[in-house]
Amino acid sequence: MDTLGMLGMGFLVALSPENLFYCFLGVFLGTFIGVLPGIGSLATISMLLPLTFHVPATTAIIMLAGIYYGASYGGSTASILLNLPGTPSAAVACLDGYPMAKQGRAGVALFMTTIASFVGASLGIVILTLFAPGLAEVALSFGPADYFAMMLLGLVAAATLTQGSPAKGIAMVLFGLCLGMVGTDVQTGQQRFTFDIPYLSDGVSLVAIAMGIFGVAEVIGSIGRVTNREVTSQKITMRSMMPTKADWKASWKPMLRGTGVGSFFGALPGAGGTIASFMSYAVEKKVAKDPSRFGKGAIEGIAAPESANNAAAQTAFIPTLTLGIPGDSVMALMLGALIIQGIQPGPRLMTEYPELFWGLIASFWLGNIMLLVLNIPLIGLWVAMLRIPYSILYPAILLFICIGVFSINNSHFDVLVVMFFGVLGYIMIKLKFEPAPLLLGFILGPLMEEHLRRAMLLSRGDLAVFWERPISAGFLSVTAVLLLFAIYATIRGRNVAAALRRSAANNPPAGA
Amino acid sequence: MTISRRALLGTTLGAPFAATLLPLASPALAQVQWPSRPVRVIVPWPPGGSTDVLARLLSEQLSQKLGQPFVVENRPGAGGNIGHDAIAKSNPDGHTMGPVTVGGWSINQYLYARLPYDPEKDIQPISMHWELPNVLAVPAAHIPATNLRDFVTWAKAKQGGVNYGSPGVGTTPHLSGAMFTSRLGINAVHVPFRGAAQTIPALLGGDIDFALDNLASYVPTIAGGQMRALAVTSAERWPTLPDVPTMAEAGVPDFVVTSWCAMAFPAGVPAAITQRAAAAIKEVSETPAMQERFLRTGARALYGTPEEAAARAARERPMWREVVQLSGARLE
Repeated sequence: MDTLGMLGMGFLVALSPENLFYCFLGVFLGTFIGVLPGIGSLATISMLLPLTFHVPATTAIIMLAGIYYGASYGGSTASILLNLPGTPSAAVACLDGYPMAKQGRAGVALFMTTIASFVGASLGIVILTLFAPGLAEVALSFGPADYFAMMLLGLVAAATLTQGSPAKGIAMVLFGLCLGMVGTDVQTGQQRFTFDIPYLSDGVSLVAIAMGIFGVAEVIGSIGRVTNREVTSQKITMRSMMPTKADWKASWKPMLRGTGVGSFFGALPGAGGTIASFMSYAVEKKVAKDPSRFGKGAIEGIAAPESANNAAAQTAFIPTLTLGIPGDSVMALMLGALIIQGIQPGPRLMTEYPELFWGLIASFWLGNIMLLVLNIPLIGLWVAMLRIPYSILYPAILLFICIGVFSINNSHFDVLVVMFFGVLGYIMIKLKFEPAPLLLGFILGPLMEEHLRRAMLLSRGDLAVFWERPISAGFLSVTAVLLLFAIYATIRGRNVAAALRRSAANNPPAGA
Repeated sequence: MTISRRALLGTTLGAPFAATLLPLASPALAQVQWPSRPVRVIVPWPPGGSTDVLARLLSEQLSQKLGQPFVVENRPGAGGNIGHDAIAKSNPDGHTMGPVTVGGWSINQYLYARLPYDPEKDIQPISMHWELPNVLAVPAAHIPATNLRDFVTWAKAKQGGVNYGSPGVGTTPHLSGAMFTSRLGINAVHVPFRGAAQTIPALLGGDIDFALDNLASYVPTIAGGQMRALAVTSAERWPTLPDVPTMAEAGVPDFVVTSWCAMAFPAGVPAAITQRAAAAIKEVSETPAMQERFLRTGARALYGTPEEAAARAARERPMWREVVQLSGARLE
C-alpha cells in the first residue's frame, strides 16, 4: 500500500470513538499543563502512564503523544500574558509576546501563536509522513564535530537575542555558559562546582532556571507596580483578538521559516524544541528589515519560534519511530509505554504494527485540529485571567511554579534553585541584564563542550576534523561570515555615527 | 528460584500470613496487613529507562495483586546515588521500596570516593527483580566483521585504535568495555555519552566502532539489521537473540557480566513484610505473560528470596572492585 492508502487506514483507526476521545483528552491535558508554568509533559505523562495500561496500545500512545504536542501549544500563553514561560521552549515567546500584551494586543498575540502552532505542527506532520526515513539518515550523519559547529553557529546567532547593550548580552551568554558547567563532567566523571551537594551533580535544572529568571523575577518585579492595571482593563471581543491584515502579512513567511528550522532541530536527537525556538527567533531577527522592532512586540518574534517549537514537537517522533531512539526524556517515556504494552519500538514498527504507526500519525492531524478549535475560544478566557487581581494571581502562580519544578525530579532542592534564580532574575531586571541570552548560553554551553571534547577524543586531538567534515565545515563558514558581517556592520555604524557627529559639529543648529 | 512453602501459602490464601510465620511475635506483627496504604516505589533513574519501565511493569502487577496502588516516583541524579539513598533512608514500614541496581549495591562503593548510604547495611533486599546482559554491538554499515573473532582481528589491526561508547563513566557498559579491551589487548579509547539514545546514533553514524552496552536499548536496531550483535555477556544464550553466541562460545571465556536489579526496602522492615513482598513479586513475575513482557524490553524477569539477592550482591563485589580499578574510573 502507498503512503496515502496507509494514511487513510490510519484515519480509520484514529477516528474510532475511543481513540478520538483519548486524543482529545491528551491534547486538552497537554494545553492545560502547557499553560501552567513549570508542570511539563514529562511529569504529566509519567503520572498518567498507569492509566494507559488498560487501554489498547494505539489508544495509549495517541493520548500520550497528544499531551506532548499539546503542551507545546499552551506553553506560550503565560509567556505572552504574564512574561512567564509555561515551558522552557516558550521562553522566547516572552521577548515579543509580553510587549504585545502590554500594548493591549494580548488577544492578537495568542491568536497568532495558535495559528503559528497549527501551521508548524501541520507542516511538521507532512514532513514526518513523507520524509521520516530520509531525515533519520541525515540526522545520523551528524557527528560530534558537526554538532559542535552547529552549536557554535547558534551561540553566535545568540548575540542577536540581545536587545539592549551588546556587552551585557555577551556577559549573560558567558554567565549562562558558566552555569552550564555545574555538574558531573561527562568525559571524566569529575564534579564541577557542585560544592558537595549531590543535587547539583547533574547540573542545575533548566526548567528551574527558566521559571526563576523569567517567572519568579516577574512576580517579584510586580510588587512595586501592583496598581498598574492597564493590561487588565481591556475589553476582549472577538474583534480585538483578530490579527490585522498587516499582522498576517508579516507572519506567514516567519511561520514557514520557523517550521523549517523547527523540523530540522526536532529530527536531530538531543537538540529539541527549545533550541529550535531560540534559533528561529535569531533567524527572524537576522532577516528582518528593521531588527530594532524585536523585543518591542514584533509579531514575527512570536510567530516563527512558535511554529518552530511545534514543528519540532512533531518531527521529534522521527528518530523515535524510525530507530527506536528517543530524542528526549518524554519520548523515552512514550517508548516505555509501548514496551509496557508489549510492543517493541524501532525500525520495524511501521511494518509490524501499521495500524499503530499510521493511526498515531493520523491522530496527529486530528489532535492538531482539535487544538486549534480548543485554543481559539480559550483565548478570551486566558486574557480574562488577567482580570484576576494580582494579589491572588501571582501567589497562585508562585505555587504552580513550585509544584511544577518539584514534579520534574521530585526534588525540593530544585524549588530552592527556582527561588534563587528568581531573586537573581529580579536583580538582572533592575540592572537591565536580559535573561534570554543567559538561557541560551546555559542550554548550548554544555552541549558544545560535550561535542567538542568528544570530537577531539575521536580525532585523537586533531583539529582538522572540523574542516574535513563537510557539515561541520559548512556551519563554520556560515559562522565566520556572520561574525565578519557583524564586525563590518559595527565599524561602518561607528564611522557613520562619527561622520554624523562631525557634520553636526561643523554646522551648529541655527539659534545655538 | 526457590520459595518457601509458607510464603506461597501466605499469598495464595491472601491471609495475614505473618500469623503462620511468627505465631509468637508481637500482636502488631501478627496482624501484618501489608500493604495497608499506597506503596511508593522510588526509582533512582529518570522516567523511560529500562529500570523505570521494568519497575512500572512490576508496580502495575503488584497493584492489581495486592489491592493497593504502587506509585512510581523517579528520584534521578548522581549516578543513581540520590535515589538509592532515598530508598535506604526512607521509613522502614514496608510502604517505600525501590529497584536497587548492581551499581547502587555492588559497584558504586568502589567508584565513588564516598556514598551517602552504606550499600551493605542500609538496604534490605526483597527479591531479585530482573537481569539483562550487555551485548557487543557493532554498526553493520561500518564494521565488516560478522563474528567476534574477526572483529577482534579487525580492531587490533585498525590504525590509531578503536573507539567504544558507553552511557557514562563507571557504568557497567564502560566497565565491561574496559575489561574486554584490556583482556584482549585491543588499543581502544572510551567515549562516554549521556545514554544509549546518544550512543546508538553515534554507532550508526560510524563515529564509534562498538559498544558493550545494555541489551535492552539495542534490540530495535539489532532487529532492524542496522546493528550487528557479536556476543552477549550472559552465561547462556539470550532467549530473544538465540543466534548470538555468548562470550565464551565466541572465544572469550570467563566474561559473564550482567546488569541486574533487586527490589529492596530500607533496612529495618519487619521480616514478615519482606517475605510477603517477595512472595508477591514471585507470583506476578513467574507468569509466562510477565516473563514475555520483560523479555521484550531486553530483560529477564527474576524473583527469589531476600537471601538470594543479598548473596548475589556480595558475590559480585570483588569482581566489580577489580574491574573498577582496571578501568581507572574514580568519581567524587
